[in-house]
Amino acid sequence: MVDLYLIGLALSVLGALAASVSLFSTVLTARTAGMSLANAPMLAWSSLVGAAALLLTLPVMLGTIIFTAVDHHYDRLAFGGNEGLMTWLGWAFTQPQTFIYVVVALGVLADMTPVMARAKQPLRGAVVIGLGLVTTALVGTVSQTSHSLNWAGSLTDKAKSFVPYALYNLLPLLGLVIVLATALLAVMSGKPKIIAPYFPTALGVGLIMAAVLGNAVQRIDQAGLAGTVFDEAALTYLTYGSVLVAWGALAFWGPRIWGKMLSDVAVVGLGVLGFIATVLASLPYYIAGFANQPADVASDFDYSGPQSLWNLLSTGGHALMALCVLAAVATVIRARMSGVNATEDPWDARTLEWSVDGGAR
Amino acid sequence: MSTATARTLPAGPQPANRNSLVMGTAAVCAAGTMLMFGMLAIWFKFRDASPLRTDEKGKLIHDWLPSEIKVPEVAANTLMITMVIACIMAQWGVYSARRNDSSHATLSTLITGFIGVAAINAQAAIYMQMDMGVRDGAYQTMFYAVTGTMLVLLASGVAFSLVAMFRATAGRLGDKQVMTAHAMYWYFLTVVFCALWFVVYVQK
Repeated sequence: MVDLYLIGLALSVLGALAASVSLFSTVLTARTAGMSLANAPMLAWSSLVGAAALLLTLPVMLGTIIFTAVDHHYDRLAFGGNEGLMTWLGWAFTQPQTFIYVVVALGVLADMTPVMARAKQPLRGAVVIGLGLVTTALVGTVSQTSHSLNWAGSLTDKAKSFVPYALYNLLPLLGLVIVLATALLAVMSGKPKIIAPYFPTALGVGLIMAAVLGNAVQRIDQAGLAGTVFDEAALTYLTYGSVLVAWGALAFWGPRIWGKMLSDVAVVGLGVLGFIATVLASLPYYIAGFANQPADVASDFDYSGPQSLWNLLSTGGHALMALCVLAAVATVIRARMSGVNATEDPWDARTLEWSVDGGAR
Repeated sequence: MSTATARTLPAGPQPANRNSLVMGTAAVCAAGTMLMFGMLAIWFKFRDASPLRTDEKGKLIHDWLPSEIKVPEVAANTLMITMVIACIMAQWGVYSARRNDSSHATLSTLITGFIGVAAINAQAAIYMQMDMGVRDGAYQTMFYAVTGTMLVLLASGVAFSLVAMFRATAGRLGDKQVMTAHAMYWYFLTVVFCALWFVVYVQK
């Protein structure tokens, strides 16, 4: 079974790499005539930046999978068999590598905000810088070392600990803050009219922010969060946050693709429900992490807190999220079958992207 | 009678330069480089963690390569030289395509593919000469994993050469992208094999 899991994982990585190559070369070479990179939509920019980061990190993961798979299939001497898998591959599923997977989500927000605000995006260059800064996480990833902050010892010791910590954990956070700040600038400079897809998108990016902040706190040694369920909670915030952004993106670009509008009530309602589900699934483990509830252990651990309550709340959150995803799929199918026809510019966007004939319907 | 002046619209923007294949191949090469260099980094990590022992000359070395295993250096060096020749052949293909010389482009890609097959054969010969089992130990497992991955990359290079050859044979010399991308892929293969050759076969 573990061999099959590793083969499946390798195939998934190969698929993600193929998609990254496609996105990377498409954005660079297949833009429409007259569209320079400087004028490209932020979604295209984030796809380019995210794909480049994935192209540099996923092959390292693939190489590790090949080693562990060959070792696991034959002698299990070098890489520790089943238990060694997390040691060698864990970096690919934990922060900061996971930040790279959600760069596109920030591009969705950056693309949607000027449409919602009915304003030209101020400081476009700063948005691109913000997106780029998030992908600096890849440097921490490739080094495969957890760069934590140990605020003890002399000033020199503190500085030696702080610089790599800031480089690998705070720079992605800074990138996210820049993207959010420029979005706020766009909102302030225009006349915003809230559109339904913006709800799940903004909520999703907020959850991603909670994950990035959580990672920055977790890497402080004095917080005592290493090896606790805190890490799992951060990953859940990040994953479900990006699911919400994907829902927002589907509602935003869907009418352009299949010519039917999604119900505003469903888009907003499922967005809010998804947000509640994510908080339910993650926040208890943030709290339990501070109470030292260990990770990777289901029972038989020494912990005086109400672990049953935290586990129950978290499980309920995951179940609710699963229901939200199923409801979202049903909403899309229903809209495609009997939804209201979409106009060429359903959001009154007034941007180049929505001004040309998109060939919907 | 007034004369109508013919007026034309200004020229539209230039169409985008579509180097998709070259750009895609460059991305694949970057990913492949990270793959092989990442694997070699793990190789180094294991080599560095192996215990120290004294060799027959009295030098203190890492006990990484089992003493009963002899690395066939001649075959490995021949393989390295073969890879360099493959690059020259692939570049010949680019040169020919730029001059719309279909026969030379076909010949060059055919030879490149043939050299690729020869390289795979050389790697098989190395396996035969080393005569070790994949489950014999950590070194053996990692050796087969890293050289096996290189073999897969080489096999895809041979497939690329065949595609390029058929396109050249069919006279599709207008799109020189294929030849450029093909040459780029073989340069990439040579660079990563050069690193693998040095780490695995020379430095051991």
